[in-house]
Amino acid sequence: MKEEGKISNWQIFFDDISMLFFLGVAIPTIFYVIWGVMELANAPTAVITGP
Amino acid sequence: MAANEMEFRTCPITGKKVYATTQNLMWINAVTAVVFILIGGIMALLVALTRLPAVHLLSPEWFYKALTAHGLNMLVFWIIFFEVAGLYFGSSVLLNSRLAAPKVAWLAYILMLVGSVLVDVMVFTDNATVMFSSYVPLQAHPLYYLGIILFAVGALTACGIFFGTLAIAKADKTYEGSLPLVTFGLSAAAIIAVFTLACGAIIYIPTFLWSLGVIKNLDPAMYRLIFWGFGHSSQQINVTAMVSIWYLLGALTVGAKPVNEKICRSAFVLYILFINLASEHHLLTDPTLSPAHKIWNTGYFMYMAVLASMIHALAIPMAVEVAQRKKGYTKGLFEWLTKAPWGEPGFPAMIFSLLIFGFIGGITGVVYGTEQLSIKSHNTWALTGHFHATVVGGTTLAFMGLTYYVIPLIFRREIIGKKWASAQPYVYAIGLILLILGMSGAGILGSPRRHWDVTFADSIIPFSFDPTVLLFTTIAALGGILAAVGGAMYVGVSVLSVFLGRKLAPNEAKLVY
Repeated sequence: MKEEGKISNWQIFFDDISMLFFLGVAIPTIFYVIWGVMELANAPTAVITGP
Repeated sequence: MAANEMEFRTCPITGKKVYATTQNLMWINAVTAVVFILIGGIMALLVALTRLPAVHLLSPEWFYKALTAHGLNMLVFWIIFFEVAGLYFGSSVLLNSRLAAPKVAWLAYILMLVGSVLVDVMVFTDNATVMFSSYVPLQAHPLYYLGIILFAVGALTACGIFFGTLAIAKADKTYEGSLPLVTFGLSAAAIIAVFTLACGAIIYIPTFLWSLGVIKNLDPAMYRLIFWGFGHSSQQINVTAMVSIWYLLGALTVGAKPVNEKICRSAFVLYILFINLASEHHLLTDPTLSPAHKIWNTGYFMYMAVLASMIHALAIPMAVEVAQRKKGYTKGLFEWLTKAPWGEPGFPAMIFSLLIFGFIGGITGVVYGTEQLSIKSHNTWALTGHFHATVVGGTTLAFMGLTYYVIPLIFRREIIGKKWASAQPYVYAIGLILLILGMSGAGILGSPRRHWDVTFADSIIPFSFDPTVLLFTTIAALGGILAAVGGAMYVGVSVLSVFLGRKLAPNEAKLVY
């Protein structure tokens, strides 16, 4: 049974704009930018051969 | 425009405090946004008339110049200036709070204005015909890159003002409990904007130095990766702000309140966490990134943001239905819809925005966003059809609908040309639907995007498309012309109303009708 007047944990999470801000910037930075930069930085350099 | 930071008036309709500093800043940002939609709209018309082989209006030089200016003025300048006005509204007005650091907000505006003017001057003087994406090694004048950096820093500062205002409102206890849903949605948009604008600033600084000759080489693959963190995510700011405006328009037009606000907030949180990963769509055909990076970012995570859009797409019509049924429109399944205020510009703008964004933009986005179909569709006109459905049919139409309420509520002017205002969302939406379907049809048949001459008349190796491409291209051009008429109606009504509309008395409570 839910206690009267008790704020749910989800609501506390939704109200924490700083936490949402951190997660909203960190997730794309880690999964899209940093991971992508690491892959590009470690890609082997193409060797151009020919006359 | 200088005003006392604590000076405010009370809105006779909503009872909200409207601070003079907020009102002035909203006014200048919104009016500037309308100037940029006018420039971008003229460019759109020129581009549409050039794509149509029967007219083929512009020379190649002017076509690419117009296309570059169209993309930047519409997707970046018009929308972000309007969003900044929206952020000040969502924080200061909706929370009854004074705006944080109004002088810094003016500085942010000046940075954005100088940046955008610099970009346009460079484009129109033949110094930056590099298209919206400005892919390296295509090089523009250094002032072009500087302009975008200044604009991004200004917009980032405006986001800071928004968060500062939230903190002031919380400290001053100007609201109780959680943030109102619209402000919460705009907070999500501002969080997404911080990542987006930071990517823009980060990639354009080395590009600026490269254009000056300070940096000798810039890796095109690295440029594309970071650029799309800015280029695509700027659309994600729009999506989130647009959804917030849908909730606001629902409330303003029929008094709609979400049936379950927690579900709506959860959907905004999904946007915050996952929507920016969709930038990967632009890299699906790049050979360097691994399939793991591509599938992770466009697959599992990104679909959480798609889920969020589906939640909003059901929550808003449901809220409208409940509000209408409470008013007694309970006959049959659809009396709530047929008795909706279709004559008020805000309601059809919201509904068309929702339908065009959700059914055309959303579905095509998810389809083209898969790796296999991206290879086929990415450089075709079908992609242009997709993002015109999301950015123009979705975001721009919603912003237009809101304008008709901001003018009397915030700028305290009566709307001039109410019949024109009522007809405008219909004209604009019908034009856009034709434009988008035409682009999509021609694109699916292989018509390329960003191309001056789809007939390849002067190419060394002759090529001709299926004749149906011409039919779809003509439909798109006719739709573009109609949309340009709708855009001109919007600019005309809003500019006339803001500058010449009758000033409303302090206690006069009057919306559009």
